[in-house]
Amino acid sequence: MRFNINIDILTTLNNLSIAEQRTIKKISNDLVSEQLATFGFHVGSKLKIISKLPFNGAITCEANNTRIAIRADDAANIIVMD
Amino acid sequence: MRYAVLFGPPNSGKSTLFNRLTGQNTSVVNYPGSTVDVTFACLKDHSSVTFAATPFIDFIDGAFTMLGHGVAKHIPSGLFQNFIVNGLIAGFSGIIVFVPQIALLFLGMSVMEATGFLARSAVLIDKPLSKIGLNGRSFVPLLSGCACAIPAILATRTISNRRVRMLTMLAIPLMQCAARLPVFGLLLGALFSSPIHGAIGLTAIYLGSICLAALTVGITNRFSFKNDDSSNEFMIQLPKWRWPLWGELIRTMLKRTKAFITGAGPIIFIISLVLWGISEIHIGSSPLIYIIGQWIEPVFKPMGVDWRVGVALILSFAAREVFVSALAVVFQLSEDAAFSLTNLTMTDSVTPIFSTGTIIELILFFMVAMQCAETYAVLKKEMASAKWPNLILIGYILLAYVLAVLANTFI
Repeated sequence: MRFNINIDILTTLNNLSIAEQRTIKKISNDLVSEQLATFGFHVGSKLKIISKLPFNGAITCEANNTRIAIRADDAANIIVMD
Repeated sequence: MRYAVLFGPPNSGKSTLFNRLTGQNTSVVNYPGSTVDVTFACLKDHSSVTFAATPFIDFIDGAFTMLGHGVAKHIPSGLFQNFIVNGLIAGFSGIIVFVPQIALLFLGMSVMEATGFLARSAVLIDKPLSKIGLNGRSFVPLLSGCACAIPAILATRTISNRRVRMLTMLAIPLMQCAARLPVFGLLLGALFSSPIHGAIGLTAIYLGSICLAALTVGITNRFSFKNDDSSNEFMIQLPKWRWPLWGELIRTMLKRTKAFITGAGPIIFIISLVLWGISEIHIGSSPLIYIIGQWIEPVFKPMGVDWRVGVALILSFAAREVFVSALAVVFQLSEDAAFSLTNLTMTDSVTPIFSTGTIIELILFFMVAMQCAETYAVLKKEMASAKWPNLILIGYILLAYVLAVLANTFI
């Protein structure tokens, strides 16, 4: 008997590299989730990393043609998957 | 009633189209880099703005001087003529003469806003600001504080976190507003003969005030908000880079300049009239300004200045730039003569008032003491309490006074 197993590789937004694309799986902080929702970012949104500032600075990402900058510490609350 | 919805990506011109269609000048989106409600600030290089505005300033100044001479010819000399020429016309001139400089500052600010530069600056500065309890959203209000504290305090409404907003409002009075530039120009001009040294001095004032603001905010955040564990998250929408539309820029500049004139103008005008009144009204044989000055002199004695500088300092709490015209009135000089401070002496006619130490202490005083009475009123309204504005007012004035006395003692 054969089983097909889909394994989602989960990581957080701050661990992605520039130009990587992922889908938001979960947002573990309610405040961050609320603020992201105001920009149209929610669970299921596909986002792309545009740039990262050095020294753990802000991360710029884009989804649905909207570009936002988010602090790296806040980005650590956003769990993404392939 | 029929409804229409206007939507599109950031900075695509939704607000511009809305304003064109409705004939209004309404702010629609409330974050930096787009059509923000209140985001006034200054360009980094004030000297270039002043230089560009100089021909307009000279023209306005000349026009009011001619008007004063013209009116004086048609009114018999006496108190009434004095009131019209030196009270009304001079007071009105004191407002209008600032307009070209302020308008150019607002134009520069609008360019930075319309291109999407401000939002990116907020992102860049977020990391260092987060170390003292602020975030990137504090940047636009703090930058705006370099033009005028009042719209800067109103601009903090875009900060949702109460602690961050309070800390930003605490720092704004320490940003050096445009109204302090004439005062620093006067004092630095007396301190340095070389314009290069003057420019270095002005840069030191700005850097010093930024350091002091960071220290004040950092300490307050650590001790006054230690029980506040609200998160200081930061995210901001980045509009696309775009060329600004000149029509939109001019309209924004005119709107903000008008707001400045209607906001600050009446105060400067009233103060000019009060100044004229207290210098012309006599009680017995002494002018009223002399009596007030004698009464407050003990407070200013530790600073090493006499009652005349004390009167100018107190009057400058109405509007910082009033200090220059107040000095001219209390020393009975023309406005131009007020710029040669080093020639002014104490009442003994020998001891110079403005020594190196006195000038440095006055610079320190103006750097730290809260900006003006209007700033206090707006702080009180926006903080929705009297406690914090009172603490800021008393704290900054006391700190400025102590620094000034220390400078007078040791320099």
